[in-house]
Amino acid sequence: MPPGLRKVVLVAHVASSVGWLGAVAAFLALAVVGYAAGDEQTMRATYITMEIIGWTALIPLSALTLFTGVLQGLGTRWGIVRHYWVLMKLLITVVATAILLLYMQTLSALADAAAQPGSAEAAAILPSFSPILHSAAALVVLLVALVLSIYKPRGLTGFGMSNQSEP
Amino acid sequence: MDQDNGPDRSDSAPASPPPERPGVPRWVKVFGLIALAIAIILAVLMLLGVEHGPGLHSLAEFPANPVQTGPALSTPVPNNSAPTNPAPAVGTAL
Repeated sequence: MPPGLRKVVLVAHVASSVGWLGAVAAFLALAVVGYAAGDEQTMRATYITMEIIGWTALIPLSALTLFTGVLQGLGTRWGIVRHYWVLMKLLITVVATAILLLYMQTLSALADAAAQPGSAEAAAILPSFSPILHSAAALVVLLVALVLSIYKPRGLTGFGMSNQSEP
Repeated sequence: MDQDNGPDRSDSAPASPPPERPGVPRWVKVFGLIALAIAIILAVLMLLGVEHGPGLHSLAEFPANPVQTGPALSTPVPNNSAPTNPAPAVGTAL
């Protein structure tokens, strides 16, 4: 990959991954406010907003993080499955993105319930602790990925060993 | 022949051992164990029949503390313990 393009992809990867982390932090704050809200309007508004954040920020940023991360791995000497820390980050991103996509169904159900005042469904599932649990877990996992990016702990995979002489 | 007269490479190998192929780093093993523990916990929860959905972890799991939404929150809840036609306080009619 040409150095100029590599820088562009690196900037996109850092921006998207850190943006994802920030969006999850904002989501967690909303989840806590929605769960602990004293008035009903605030509670309903938070669950509807959380779904919007999910579709417009979390999913695009996670997809961009995964895409630019794979590009970075393919276009640099780090590779994708050559170093354990890169492989671990890839697994974290893939699993987190998959869980996020699956969780959007739950989030949509919560938002739908919040948009229907007085429904039995709303009474059954709101307020929910589930968004707090999932976003807190996502925050921890994304922080682990961030730490791996900065510290780059040593360790070559078997594939990395066998291809050590290659650039 | 060259092979017979040449030095035996296996005997005259340098004192330093060949580069050892390191195993899986410890931090990777720790990560793997944590992931395995989480997977086992989730599997056990699924086997126990815990449904994973929007109702999970909600306050609705506790019938003693039902969550009222919608009009129920804005409608004054009658106090069942209070009499519907409270008798006048003793002494007021006297």
